[in-house]
Amino acid sequence: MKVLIAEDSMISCRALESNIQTWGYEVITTRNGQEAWDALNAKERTLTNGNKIRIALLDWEMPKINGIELCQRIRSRRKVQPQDYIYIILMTGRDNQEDILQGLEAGADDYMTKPFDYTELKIRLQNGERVIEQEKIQDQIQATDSLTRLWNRNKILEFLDEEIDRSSRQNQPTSVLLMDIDGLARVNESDGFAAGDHILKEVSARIHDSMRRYDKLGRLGDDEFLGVFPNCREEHIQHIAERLRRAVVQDAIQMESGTREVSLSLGGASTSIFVSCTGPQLLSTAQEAVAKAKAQGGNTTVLLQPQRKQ
Amino acid sequence: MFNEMTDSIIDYASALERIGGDKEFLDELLGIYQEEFDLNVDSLDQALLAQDFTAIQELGHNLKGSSANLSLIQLRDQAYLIETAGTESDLALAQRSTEELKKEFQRLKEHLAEKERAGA
Repeated sequence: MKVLIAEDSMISCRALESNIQTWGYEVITTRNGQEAWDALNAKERTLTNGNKIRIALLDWEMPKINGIELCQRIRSRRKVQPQDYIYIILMTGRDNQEDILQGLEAGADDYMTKPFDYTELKIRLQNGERVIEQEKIQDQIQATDSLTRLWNRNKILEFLDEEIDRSSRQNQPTSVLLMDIDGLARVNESDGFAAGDHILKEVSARIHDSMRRYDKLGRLGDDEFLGVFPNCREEHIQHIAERLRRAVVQDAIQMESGTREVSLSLGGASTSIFVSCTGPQLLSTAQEAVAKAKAQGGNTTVLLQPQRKQ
Repeated sequence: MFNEMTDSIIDYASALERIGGDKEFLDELLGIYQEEFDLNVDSLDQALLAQDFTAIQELGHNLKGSSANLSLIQLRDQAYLIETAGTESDLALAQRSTEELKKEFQRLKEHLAEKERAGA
């Protein structure tokens, strides 16, 4: 787990760094509030899950941005956009009740008065870790579609945005496939929603099992799934789409009463070094493509290129 | 012998206890402390000249924290007085305490040099 230290005193900073590293944490040290804020907002650090700063040890009195203000910024940032919870421990030379209350009110989870005992700090970090683990479970539940156990709409769209952001910085392509189960509305109508749900679960599992580990799949809504394929070019997405279509169509689905043939319409779009675009632009191109696939009778793939960004 | 020594310059027992008993690491931190001290005291002299009480308070606070971390008792107490002088805009107290702070630092340096000679 990654721990951020914001402490203007060189000596405290080094003592904290050394101890916390010994306990097996990855440590980032910063010497004032502004540096800490920049570290928390650095894109590179938020790239992959598990690699983000999850615990912050903030000194109360620091140049530029003090600990209290930093605390407030971290908390209000989470209100504006979805963010992982950061466990904040304020470090302070103050120990009067009013100051401590002010710190907790600003959003700190815990506080320590200096000079502090490192055994106590170790235990307080462990407490922080426990809270973060609980938060992770909570986030996971919130990001999961209850029927298919795939990522839900918000989570897959968030991943798409992050991925496009990352890939455009690294000059890599990203592809998406929007997948729509053909004729599911009719199944719901004739056989009931339980039958429709059974098909949704089976189809999502088949798609999921045919994807690479680092490709991500989410349920956008009703009978629509979105796959995001990092570092995947337009030439490759055609093959992948065909593989997924076949995985769904090749065996009929076992239903309570007999079997049912199911097929998939797919719409794909890719960014490339020539075409950069935003997540919503890529998605809307894929939506156009899947509509064309449907118009051709379904059970097929249509790829479209997003418009070049002006 | 010096490692067990506890006097008003440095309380080795509590400093070591705080950093998990690692004597080498304590030496490293004392080295950093001296570097940081010089920088802070330069800034403090400038702040005194400019009668910048906010800076005096901040520097006193910083020195107090670093000194307390290493159980440098007298240095911590003088730094505390500097911080207070900054808060209360008391220039005479700030000047007096800064002089005392420098003397204490000199004592610490001599103590550490003596310790090194004894260890060598």
